[in-house]
Amino acid sequence: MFAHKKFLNGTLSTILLALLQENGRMYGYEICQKARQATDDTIHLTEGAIYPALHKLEKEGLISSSKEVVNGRTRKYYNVNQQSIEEVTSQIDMLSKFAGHLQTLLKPTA
Amino acid sequence: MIDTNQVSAIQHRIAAQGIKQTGQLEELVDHYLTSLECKIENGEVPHQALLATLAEIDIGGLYFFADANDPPSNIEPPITEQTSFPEAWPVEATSKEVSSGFGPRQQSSEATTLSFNIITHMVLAICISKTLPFNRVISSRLASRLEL
Repeated sequence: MFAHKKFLNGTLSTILLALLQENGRMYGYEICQKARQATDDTIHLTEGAIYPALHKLEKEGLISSSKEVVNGRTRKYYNVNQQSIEEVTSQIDMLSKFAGHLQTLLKPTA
Repeated sequence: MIDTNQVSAIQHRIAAQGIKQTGQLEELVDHYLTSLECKIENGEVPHQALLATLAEIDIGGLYFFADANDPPSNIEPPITEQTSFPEAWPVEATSKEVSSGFGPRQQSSEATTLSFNIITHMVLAICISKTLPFNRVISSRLASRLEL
């Protein structure tokens, strides 16, 4: 179930960008749940991994955050910056192509 | 039970430990509370939901969370192993270690483990104090552990 951690290292930021681009505004717990649901409960993103990555992306200016009070407590939502969409799309495309090349290497046609 | 003033005291100790921005703490607390609420909404009884949420705590990752204000540029946040609970609780951990002012990155692995265990205690204490009046036993245990 949790065997995919080492493959996530180095790709986590791009995965977060892809999820945010696809789903719009999201908060941390929602991102974790979305990743689990979309991968048939295979990929578990932990809070100790995603929040530092989200904060780093925000610092780099690729995403921005806004706070909202939900059920009496503060919730922080993230979304891709409009000015950064081109760069975000480029990063996602690069990883997608890389994954395709990996597929070719891992399962070469006879 | 831990009251609001005690929660405030815990927040100050967390600040001393490394999570300097209140926003980061709010975010983490919201994460655990949402997880807890979802479990209860899905039919788990509160006590079991609490234990399941505690078991999910990413203790290893909290170190990076605590240090996120200035993360080393060449280190990716870890996708850490799940850490069981309550075995991860250090019996000897008290607020004295928290108030000693050490920074996680400079510590030995033993001290680092201790420090993010303490952070976890504090976050959980806040979660429990805000939402779980039904679990007075655990709250009082945490309060006792934190010397509140």
